[in-house]
This record gives sequence, C-alpha cells and structure tokens, in this order.
Amino acid sequence: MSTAQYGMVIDLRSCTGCQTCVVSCKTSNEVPEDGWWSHVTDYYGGEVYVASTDGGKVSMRFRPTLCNHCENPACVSNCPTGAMHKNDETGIVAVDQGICIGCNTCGKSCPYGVPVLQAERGVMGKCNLCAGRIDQGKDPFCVQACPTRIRKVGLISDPESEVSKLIAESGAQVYQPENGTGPSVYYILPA
Amino acid sequence: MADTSAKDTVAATQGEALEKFTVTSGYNCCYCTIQGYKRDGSIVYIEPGELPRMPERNHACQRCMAWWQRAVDEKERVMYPMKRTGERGSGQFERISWDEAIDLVAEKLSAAIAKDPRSASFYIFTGNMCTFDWFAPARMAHCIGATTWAMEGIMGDHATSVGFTMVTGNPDPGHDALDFMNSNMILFFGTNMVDTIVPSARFLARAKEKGTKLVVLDPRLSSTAAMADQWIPINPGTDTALVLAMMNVIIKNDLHDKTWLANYSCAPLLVSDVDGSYIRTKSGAYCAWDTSANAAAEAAPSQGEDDGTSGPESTWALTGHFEVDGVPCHPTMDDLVAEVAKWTPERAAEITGVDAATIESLALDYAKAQPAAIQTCTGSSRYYHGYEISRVAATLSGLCGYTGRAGGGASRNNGGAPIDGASLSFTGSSGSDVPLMNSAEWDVVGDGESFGTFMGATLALYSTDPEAYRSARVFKSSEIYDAAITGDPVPIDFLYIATANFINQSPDAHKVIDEVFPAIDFIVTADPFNTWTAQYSDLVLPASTWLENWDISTSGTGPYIRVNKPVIERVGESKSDTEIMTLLAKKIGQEAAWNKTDEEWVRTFLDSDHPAFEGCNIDDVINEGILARADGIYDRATYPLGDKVFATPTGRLEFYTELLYPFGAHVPTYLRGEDNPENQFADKYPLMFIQYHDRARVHTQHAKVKLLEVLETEPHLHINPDDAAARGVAHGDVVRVFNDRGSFKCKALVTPGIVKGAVAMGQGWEPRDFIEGHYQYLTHYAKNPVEEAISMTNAAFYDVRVEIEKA
Repeated sequence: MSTAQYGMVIDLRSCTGCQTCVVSCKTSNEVPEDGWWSHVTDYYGGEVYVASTDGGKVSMRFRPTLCNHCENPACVSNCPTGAMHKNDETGIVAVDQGICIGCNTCGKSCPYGVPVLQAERGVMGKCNLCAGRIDQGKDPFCVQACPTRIRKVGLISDPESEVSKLIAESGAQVYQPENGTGPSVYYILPA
Repeated sequence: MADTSAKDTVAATQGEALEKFTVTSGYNCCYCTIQGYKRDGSIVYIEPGELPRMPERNHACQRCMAWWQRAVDEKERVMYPMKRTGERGSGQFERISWDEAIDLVAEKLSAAIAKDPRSASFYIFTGNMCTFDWFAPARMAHCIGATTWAMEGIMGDHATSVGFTMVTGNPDPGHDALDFMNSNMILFFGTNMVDTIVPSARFLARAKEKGTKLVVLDPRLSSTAAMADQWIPINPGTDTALVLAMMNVIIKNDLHDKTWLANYSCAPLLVSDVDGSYIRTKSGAYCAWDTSANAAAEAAPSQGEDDGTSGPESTWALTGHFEVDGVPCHPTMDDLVAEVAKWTPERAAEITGVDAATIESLALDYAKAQPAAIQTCTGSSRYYHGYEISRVAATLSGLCGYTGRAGGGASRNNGGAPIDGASLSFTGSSGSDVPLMNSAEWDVVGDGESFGTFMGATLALYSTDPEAYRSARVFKSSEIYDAAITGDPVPIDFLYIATANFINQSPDAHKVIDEVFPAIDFIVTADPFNTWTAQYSDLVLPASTWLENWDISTSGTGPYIRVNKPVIERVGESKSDTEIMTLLAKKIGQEAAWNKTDEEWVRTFLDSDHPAFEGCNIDDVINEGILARADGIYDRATYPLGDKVFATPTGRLEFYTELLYPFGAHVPTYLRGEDNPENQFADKYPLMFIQYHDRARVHTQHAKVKLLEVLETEPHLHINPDDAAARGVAHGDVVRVFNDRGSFKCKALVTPGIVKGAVAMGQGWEPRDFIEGHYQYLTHYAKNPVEEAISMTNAAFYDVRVEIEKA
C-alpha cells in the first residue's frame, strides 16, 4: 500500500478512437519491437471500428486502456524477482528492467494483460504512467497527446484533487472492478 | 538506448537530453505546427507543438506522430532521378543523374514550348502545401507562358467553395472552433471533423459538455458521429433534400427571421416574373418594394452591426406582386417559399431515408436553438450537383438569421484555428495596405499578372471572369481529360506533375491510364514517394519532404507566421520542388526569376514591413519556427460576415442566383435526384459507393506508415449487415466491388454503422494495398452543366453505383 496514488480519468463520451494516445505512447516512450503499452478497445467488447447495437441504437464507442496502476497489483504480488514494484510515493506500478528476467509471470497474472515481453532484451515492459514526466510536473504522453483532451491525471488519493472531484462528480468507474485489484484508472461512461 | 539498468525505460529516456525541433506539416490536413526530438540527427518522437499565446490549441495527431517514419524509409522514397525504360506502368526505370534528368526535362519542355507554350502543362495539387514547394512548378509555368490548372474541380472540393460563394461571397465562411461554445446546436452534414480537422475536435467536446447538442447526418457512423449526441443516418448525397424540408418546416411554422432576411439577404429584392432576372435601376442598383411608400426602392448592399440582432425593423415586402417600370415582379423570397413548399418532410423522407418526424423535429430544434451552427464539407458535396448542399445550408443559416452571428453560420468543415479557415481573419483589420509577406519578387513573373490569376483561381468561381483565366492560361481542371485527348481547350504535350498522386486521386483511373496519359508525349512526376502516378511517368524526380527543406507554411496560418527549416538530412538525392525549378531555370533561360536558395526565399518573404512583424526579430522567427503575429487575435472566437457585408452580386446573402434561372435552380433545390447520370445504373448497381477520409491517412502520403497500421492494415469495404446477408457476405470475406467502369477486391467489414444501400471505404490506398484493382477504377468525371456554367464540375467521387459479390 502506497501513501499516495496517482491515477487517471478518461471521459469516454468524447473518445473518438483516433489512437493518438496509442501512437504517442509507442513513439515517445520508444516502446520496442511489437510492444504496445497503450491500446484502444471497443467499449462494447467487439471489434474496434465495428459499430454495435446498444438498446436498439447503433453506436460506436471506445475504451482506451493503459496500466491500471492497481492498489493491489497482481503483477507485483506474483513477480518472482521483485522487478515489478509499486512506488511508495506515487502508487505507480513499474518494472525495473535491470532486475527483470522476462519470465512473463506478471503478464499472465495481470487480469488486464498489461505487461508485455520485450523479447529482444528478455525483459517485461509496461506503462509506468510516464513517471519521469510526472516527476517533472508534466502530463503523461497519452494525456498530452489526446486531441479531445479527455484524459486527466492526478492524485486520486487526495479527495481534493481535480481528478478526485471529477471522479466523484461524474460517477466515473474503473474497468472490471470484479478483478479485485483496485485499478486507479477511471472511466466516465457514455450515456 | 540509454542505460536502463537501474530504472525503467521511460524514466531513463526522460533523463536524456534530446535535440528539440519545431516544424509545420505540409500535407493537405491541418498544417499543424508540431514539435519533436532528435537523437544523433534522427527523429525519436513528435508531440503537440507549442503555440505561442494559445497553448489550448497545441496539437499533433497520430498521423503526424507516425508519418515521419515513412519519410525516412528509403524503400518508400524515390531516392534518385529515374528514367523510364519499360512500358508506362511497368515499373521499369533506370537511375540517371540530376544533370541528365534536368537536361531531359529541358529538352522536352523546350520542344513543347517551341510548338506552343500552352502545350506544356504544370499540374500541382496538395501533396505539400508549404508556399514554395507547393507553387514553384506553377510559378515556372507562368514564367514561360505555359498552362496551369485550377485544381479544385478534379479534387472534388470545389462544390463547397461554389455553394458558399454563391450565397455568401465567401468560399469558406468558417467559424473558429472556439465559437462552438456559443452554439446551442451544431449540425454536421457529412462532416467528419474528428478525423479530418482534428485540432477542432476538443472544442466540439467542450461545447458538448457545456450542453451544445451535436447532431451528425452521415450515411456512416463516422468518428464524429460516434461522439455526437445524435447520429442521423442518411442516404448518400441526399442532404440537400433534407435541408429543403427543414426550410419547409421552418417557414410553415413561421420561425424564419423575416427582419434579418429583409435587412441582409436578397429576400426582398425584386425579380421579373417574365425572365427571373433581378430588377435593376439604370445605374444598376437592385430594388425592393417599400410597403410604407408603396413604391420600389433601391436596395443597397447590406451592412450591419455584429450585435446578434436581426437589425432594424424593415418595411420592405418579402411577398407580393408588383410592377416596376412596367415589368411585373416579385421578391425572391416568394421563389424560395414556393420551392421549399414542394419539399415536405414526407417527400424528403422518401429520398433521404430519414423519417419525416425526425426531419420536422430537427428543423424546429434548429430554428429555436438561437443560435445554431452548420458545417458541410466534401462528405456531403462530392456528388452530382455537389454545390447544392453548401448553397442550401448557407441559405438555411440566413433564413434563421444565424449568419454572421456568434455561434451561428454555415461553414465548411473547419474551425480549427489556427489551422484552416483560409478566409477567416485571426488578425482583425490591421489597416495595413502592406502585403503580409515581402513576396512581390516571387509573385510577379513572366507576363506579370498571370501567376496571381492562377493563385486567385484556387477557390474562386471560374465564371467570374473566364476570359481572364483563359488568357492567363489557367484552365478548369474539369477540362484536363478532354484537353489531353482532344487538344481542346488546350493541347497537352508535356505534363509536369508535382505534389500530386494524379492517377490515385483523380476520378476514372482507367480513363486516365488508357486515354489521358497515352495522349501526352512526356510526363514528369516529382514526388518524395514512388507513387502509382510515378509508375506511369517517363521521368521521376525525387522531391524532398517538408521535414527536409526550407519553406513557409501557407495554408490557414491563423495569427501565426510559420517557417520550416530542415529537420532531417535529405533522403537520397532528393531536392525541394523549388530547387528543382531553379535547376531547370538555368537550362531554359529563366535563371533571373530563380536566383535564390530556399533559405533566401524564406528570408526575403519575412523581410516585411507589415504590422504582423512589428517588434520581431527574423532570426528568432526562423529559430523558433513560429511567430505570434503582433496583429493577431488570440483571446476570442472569430467568425466572418459579422458586418453583414457579402461579396455577392447583390451585396447580400444571396440565395437567388440569376445565372441559374435557365436551369430551374435560381433558388436552392435538389436536382441531383432527377438528372444524375448514375441513375441509369440504379437497377444494375443498387449500392452507392462512398469514400471517406479516415483516421489513418490524409491522402496516399500515409500509405505504408507502419505505426498507423494499428488503425487499419488494408482497405475494407464497410457494408450493412442486411446488404451483406443478401449477398451471402460475412464479416472478413473478400468481396469484389464492381460497376461498368471497373472493379476492386478487398475484405468486407460488416457493420450496422452504415446505412442500407451504401458501402464505404476510406480513401488514400494505392493499388498495391488491394487484393486486386483500385477504387478509382469505379469513379467517373461526368460533366455537370450547372457547375460548368457557374464554375467547373466538381468530381463526384461519391456518386458511384456498384454491386458487390463474394470473391
């Protein structure tokens, strides 16, 4: 349990599925090989860019995903080396690639399938909420890049923070809470 | 890679000092100023550029973030000059030197000029819209008396310019995106702003959050429709019928703004009952009937305050039968009322597929929104009679008094200040007569005025002065196929193509390949990439991209001056379009007009006394890549026509177009349904095939950008489940799409996100991306007599009938 927790709110009402977050994350973080740390999925669970029929209405919605930086991260508790860790001061879950042996236990244990193997280097990689940028007071790349500006990052552990207020006001919800890991990424759901 | 032993990759990267750069994109998108970082001279990544004084507009989308990877891919680039050795289209070329290449161009060009200078054509399009690279080949044409082509017709954009110009005198009366917040309702007709004018998307989102209702009418559930409050599926190309019915409802419910119409529109102007012509005084003034004097009065061009009101009460008649100097006449409003009376919601419902109740409530909501805004664009105008939708939308806006009003207007997919909106002023009136740029030396060449005539022809109506255009050798692009094949209106013996993938982006590719190109003796293509068009050229020259050379951003600069300097080393032996023309100039005796390096041209342009440059240091501008103009507007939404000054013949919002009386189209109507050449195929080819601009590509520049394959890896034909089932087609099946003109094969994407009776595919793919064929084999360029009369035919890329079968 960390003393503070950074998290994110994403307003799905104005997500357009452009994947600028995905491309920005990939290029700016120099995510190697075929690895992606950020994704855009279909909100209804179908194939992205194929519309769905929702309550008789044809609709197309998206859910961008990233590491949930969980309160109780399965990847951390299952990591055999301690490479996957949760930062005490920020709550950010990250992998120390100097220790990681690339066994993919974290990838298999994460209910959201977030950590990916960087085969060439034999280590795992994942979203670390652009911790280095947060240290510098900057937004993560995906937040900065979003054309509709629907992503907000901040301290969800502080009830007075902008993101905490937004979560409260909008009734934002985490994805698949039944996984029990306590995600820190919240979604404002489409009407 | 930095040492990552102790920390994770990202943090390590953060600690590394990378070299920052700023550059403005040149492809025909939003001309975003972006910034990025380099390591050892190579680009690492790109992020939103920092716009001085308007950080809320900082932007870069997935396309700019990814495209540079293709620009540095030597397998994709033309690396050196190539001379054709096999048949055209065979892909067989030999490498030659620049000296040999320029000698060859000079030889062929000189031979054509010796016969008739007009038989040499320089064709430019929108592949690189930075000032020098975009216009250099056209400038050369005007140095030597050769031919250029007004590009908007064959592009399929012209209908929008025509429709808005007819009514407002402004081809692009766009409201700044900040103005969305002032609208209570926004109506998009086929406008996919979210994928195409991406920097505006956030302002749509903010307006929506504030309570603005966003309604998108589109045959397809586009990205924009996906985030709208309401998507109204509509049959392709029928939007005009729906707007006519909206006006029907509004007038029937007496919700139109009669005071505004009397003050600022042609509504009170009298026209002859006999021949439909405007009643004019001997001095040429237009006339209205003043009910207080019970006599005709001169109706001056309108002007008014930008105060959101309808102006003073008017005593001018909007209806009635009068006589002026013995000529029986009536106000044009009577014609509009009579026309829209024919367009009941029930009739429009049959055409559009939108039920009458929806049309009725849409009309009432629009009229009561006070104000509401409209956007149209190529999505609703690349049809036969394509000007109709923008004309009718601009009329509807005036009908409710929304034109020239905050939160109102009818615009063309824009609003992304500081991008786009070429006619939108972000600088107010500086009161300066000094040209913005010190460009006289660049602008005035050869016979003097003709290059300027060409520049002015981009969005203008050709009918305004056809003789002037022809004498300046600026021809309608709707005539280019005939010109090559028949020599009329001008022969084409030599064709220089730059910033254009001509075959891929023009209609009826079989005609281009089988009839147009074979009729041209020598074809040169200058392009960074080895395009389909390059394959059919006799000589291919490697052009550099906007990442590689000096230039000035031309388009939609907003309150900024934006300068590009080389970000990366030249790829291969590429040269800028301007450098290529400068080399050619030496061989054909034009070196006096081409005596500068690209950097020198940039510095010459910036050496301006215009107030925009007040207090600035040119070297700082060049270093930073962007200058916030001293006379710029940064703190409020701007929009045109607030002064109610319309550059139309009547000087008013002009829904009555005298020129179109012989066509029965003097007021907005829907002719497409009746006299559309594609109607002959209605039974044989029941599906309408539309192309759209998607997330991944502007045009073919974005083909084969590896990172963008996360969006789509190959072309897909979107088809409604009912249409698919009727043909035994399942999601992912390969289908053959065909009509009498041609065919292609690709995978089917079965989705309820498209109306029944229509199929759709994103444009910008090349033949190598298809299993077989290409979408442009199915399109056509049928001349439209109304559009030819008023300007030139807009390529109806989406008015295409097809059938599909499982392949």
